[in-house]
Amino acid sequence: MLQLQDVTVKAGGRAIVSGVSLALRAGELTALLGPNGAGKSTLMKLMAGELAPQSGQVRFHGRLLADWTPSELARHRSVLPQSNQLAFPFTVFEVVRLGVEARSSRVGLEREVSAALERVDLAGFGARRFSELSGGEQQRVHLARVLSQIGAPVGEDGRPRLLFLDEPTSSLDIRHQIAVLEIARTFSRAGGAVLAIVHDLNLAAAFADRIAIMERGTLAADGTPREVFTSEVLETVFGLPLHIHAAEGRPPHVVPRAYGADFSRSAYQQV
Amino acid sequence: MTAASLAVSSTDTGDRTRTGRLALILLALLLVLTAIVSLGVGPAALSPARVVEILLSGPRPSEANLGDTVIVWQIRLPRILLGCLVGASLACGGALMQGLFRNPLADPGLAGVSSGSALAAVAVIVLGGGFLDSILGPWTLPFAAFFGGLASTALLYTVATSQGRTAIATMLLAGIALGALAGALTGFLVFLSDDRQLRDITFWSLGGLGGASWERLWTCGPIMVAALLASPFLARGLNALVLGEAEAFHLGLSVQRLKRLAIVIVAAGTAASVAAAGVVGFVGIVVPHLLRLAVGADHRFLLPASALLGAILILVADMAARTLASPAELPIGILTAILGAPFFLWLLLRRRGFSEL
Repeated sequence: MLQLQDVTVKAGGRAIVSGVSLALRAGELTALLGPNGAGKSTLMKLMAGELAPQSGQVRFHGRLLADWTPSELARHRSVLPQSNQLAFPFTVFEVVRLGVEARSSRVGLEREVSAALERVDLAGFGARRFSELSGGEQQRVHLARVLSQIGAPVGEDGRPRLLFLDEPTSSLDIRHQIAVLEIARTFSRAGGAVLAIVHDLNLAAAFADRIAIMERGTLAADGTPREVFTSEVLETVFGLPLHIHAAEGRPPHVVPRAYGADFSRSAYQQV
Repeated sequence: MTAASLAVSSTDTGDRTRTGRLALILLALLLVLTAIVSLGVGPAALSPARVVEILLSGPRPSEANLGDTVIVWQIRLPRILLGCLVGASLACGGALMQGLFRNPLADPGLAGVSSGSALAAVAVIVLGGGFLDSILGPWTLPFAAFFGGLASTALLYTVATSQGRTAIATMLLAGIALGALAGALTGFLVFLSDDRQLRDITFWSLGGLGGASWERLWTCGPIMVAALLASPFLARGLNALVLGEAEAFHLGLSVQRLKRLAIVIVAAGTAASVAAAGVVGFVGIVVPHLLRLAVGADHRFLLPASALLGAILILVADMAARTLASPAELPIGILTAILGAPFFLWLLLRRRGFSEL
């Protein structure tokens, strides 16, 4: 449903993303991995329509992304930001309502907001000031907003919807990390598409149908967790010796080889 | 305050719509009351009942109430209406500007309007209107103030916009630079001026409704009314902008169009209000700030509530301006600054108290 064709983005003479081709498909949860500064967020901005590539094409439902109006886009994809500060004191209800309103259904608005909050385990938080919540709670409020904006995984027009999640688990405790990724997986199983930037390799392997790994602006690997989680790929990309356990019928599992033991410079340099 | 206690009673869901609606109704009633009282205040004092009676009997004076009809309809009513529009434009413009800059301390003055208007007006006072004088006569000054404000906003907008994107922070900084430049040029003109011109400049830069008349209302009013009527259409966009520019785009907003519209509306409304009543400070900052505490930050209520409270505030300040030094008139800008500046400092101190918790 969304195709990147050989896209390149440059800033200050340096290529942040260079020559990346990638397709997001309905029914798939794709995890985007890679070290800091690899260009993951930039790639997501390209796919969300926030940034135009200097060369290459981005197509969404077959149409060039640049030809979509912001409001059309808003009905077909939604984006969970990494973290953000509100300029003015909104209540949690008011933040989530922004998502509901973007889909322009005005009936049963209050019920929809509270259902969305319940879904992210924040039932009864509507009246709280957003700025007074913890980082993890704020992240889940935004998730509720983004889910309300996108609605059902497949819209009434029969087109699948697309959900972008930029590090959705970064400030969550382990129970909520799993809960949030389960929401994402449910969305994709029901016919939608999800792209999530994730830093936890094991969470990514456990939940993603497909994993794309970026390194210095290019796509280093793209495939199922089992195809991608090899020591050649992961050790080169992350520059760290790793143990990869891949038992039959279970998602691969990664542990740094020097875990708990001597974690000196030499561990990095072995690779 | 009533509004504050209302905010507590309806916060079970976090939906403050009801609080907002109630606040709008209360403010509208308060504005009508203030206007009626204000129409009765002055050298010839009239009771509110008498004011209502004269308003209802129409602008044509009858034998029995000739004097009162002239006072209310010819002298005070245009002044009150102009005051309402000026206060509403400034406060609503402040709320728009703060939403656009995502900063509660922004002010319509930041868009370069006040400095440009002031420079143009002072230039007309000191250098004379030239050929404009022969066409526009007494309208030269408001005309110059209006277009001076628009021109400086257009300049700022151009400086801050590249490749179709307006950098709001750049606009803010450029506004400060342009304000300093306009201030220096204005200062130079003041240096050139004679005593009579100096007095005109002082009165104009402190603001006042003394020049109000039906003619002035008909020339400056429609622009302010148009700006006020257009502003509610930006409410949803400004609400989304509270999350950030990228998030507002994700929510389906054409952010650049929103910015352009907001800047045009604020510039037109503020320039018209400066042309009508000179520079009146602090209304644009204090009113939205106060209302955010009472009804929350939802722009659907914040914008109209700001307009209403701004109008009330100007009417009260104008009543004080007319009576405190009677028969002379105090410039209204002095009163809004005397009330507004300490109040604003108090708000800042309170805010600091919150953030240190």
